[in-house]
Amino acid sequence: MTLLARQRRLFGLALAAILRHRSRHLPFVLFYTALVFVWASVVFCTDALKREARLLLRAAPEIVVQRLVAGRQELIAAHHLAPLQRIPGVSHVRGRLWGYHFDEATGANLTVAAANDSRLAPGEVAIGRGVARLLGADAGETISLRDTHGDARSFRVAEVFSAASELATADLIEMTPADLRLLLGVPEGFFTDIALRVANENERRVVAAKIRSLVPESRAILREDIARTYEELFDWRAGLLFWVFSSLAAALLVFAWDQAAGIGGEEKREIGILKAVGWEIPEVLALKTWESLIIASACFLGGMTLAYVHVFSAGALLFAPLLKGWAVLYPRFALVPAIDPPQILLLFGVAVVPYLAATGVPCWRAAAAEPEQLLRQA
Amino acid sequence: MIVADRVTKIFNRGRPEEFTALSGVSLTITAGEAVVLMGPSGSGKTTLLSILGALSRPTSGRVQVEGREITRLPEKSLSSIRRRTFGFVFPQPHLVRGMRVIDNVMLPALPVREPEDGLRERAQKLLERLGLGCRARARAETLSSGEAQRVALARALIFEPKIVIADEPTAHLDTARASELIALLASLPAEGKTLVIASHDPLVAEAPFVDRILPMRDGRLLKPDLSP
Repeated sequence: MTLLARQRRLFGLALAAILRHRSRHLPFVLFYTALVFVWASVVFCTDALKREARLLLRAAPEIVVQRLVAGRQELIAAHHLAPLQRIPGVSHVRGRLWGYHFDEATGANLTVAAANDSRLAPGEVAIGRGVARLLGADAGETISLRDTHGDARSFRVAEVFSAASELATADLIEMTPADLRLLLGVPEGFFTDIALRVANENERRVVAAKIRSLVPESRAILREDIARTYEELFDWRAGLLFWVFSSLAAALLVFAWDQAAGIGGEEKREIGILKAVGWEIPEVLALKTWESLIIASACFLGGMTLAYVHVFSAGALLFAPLLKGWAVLYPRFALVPAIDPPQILLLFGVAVVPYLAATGVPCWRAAAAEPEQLLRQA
Repeated sequence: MIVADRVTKIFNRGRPEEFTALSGVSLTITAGEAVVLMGPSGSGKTTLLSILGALSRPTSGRVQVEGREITRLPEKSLSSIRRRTFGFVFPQPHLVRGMRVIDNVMLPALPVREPEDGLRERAQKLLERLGLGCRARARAETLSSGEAQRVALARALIFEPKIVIADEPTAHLDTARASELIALLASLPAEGKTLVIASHDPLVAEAPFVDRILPMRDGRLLKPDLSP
């Protein structure tokens, strides 16, 4: 008989044993599954948010220059474009127009930006899925926005952004630069900020230092700094949740130990029979390990599946306010499914291995007892 | 051959509830012999059987099985002896619920590296011999008490042990079922198997295949065993 066939026999026996004692296992299985569900939800949610953030930043310029007045961002004059373009290492400079638009009817604060290209005609907008949901508008329909004078201006929805990067576009309305200047009251000769392309990674901090000397009232924001901030922000939030749920994990291990240590009369009798008919300690342990592995794997898979549905179908209903931050308020955005295999392996290690270790010792104790003693106790 | 030399077993030693179950029991059982340990509850029959069958270790004294002292053997060797040398029948069948009859018979051999087909064939033959061939695929919990005890006997015989140890095998059977089981046990010494039974059932004690009766009380043999 091959090793595989032998393990298959033990697996079948372990599965039958779990089903026989299902009422004893049920509360533990529910608790374990719930814990994996919570952990996996946090991991899925954080990973998806990070992925969205990375997608968002991939298209972002390497450096953004903003003018500050009294510590707040102000419009920046267009005459700064030429000196910035002359800095060695800078391949392209572009003035950007963007701002916020508060929609009174829905209470949402929307991002309005000028399109980079000429795909939009005057009076046309491209909107994010969150805006589309919020305003109930689809491609071809018309939306109305109030300009800085309080006058309503109508725009035809030429495009609704794809769901692929909803974190970046959920609350976005894009229009022509001229329409945006009228809507937000940005005068000609000014931009919201200036975007710079610097291909060489090693030159970016040097370029940033030169920008500060050329435009002293400005700040230069590097893309990698934003990326790091996002990562740290989401990691911090996820870490917070992990700490909260670590106490639950400790409770799980205590529960697992108690469960395994408190082997009932029926199970003692079964181990006693196995030993009486000649099973060796490692064979009994292999059987018990299979039992633990089946329980742990079932709970792991169950918890992961529930978490996947929770995060990617139900919008991470339970943890979104903490993990997404402001973005959860208005407008809502859906997370795009993204699974990171190393993270799954890590979760498996965190959720399953300690459980196997916690159940191993009590099982070994039972397996090492004399058959006569086990049968007597049963 | 089984030789027990001044075997004593004390439970909960050093505690207020200390209890001496066996006190200096010596006996010799020759190969192919059928011996019945008789005595009331608490006389030490089950404890003596468990020590003779390597299910537990004595507090003091020695036990030899086929010339090999088993009292100081490591657990791994004891497991091997339990599997290959002994077959056990308990007062209750102790079948694993939810498992099929034939799988219960094969239980001792499940972790052993032995081809499944041969093992299954052997289990099926055993069940047929014990009149349960048609029940091989039934679930253990669907058997009557008599059938279950016969399955337990089949399980004890799966490795064709030299020694069969039966502890009150008829305790939970009515007279008809008990007689059936005794008839099955009776065939074992003829095959050269040694049979050690603990029972207070007269049906067992009076069975013609029994060579010797060893009466017990209060953890001692009432008559010293003078066998060679």
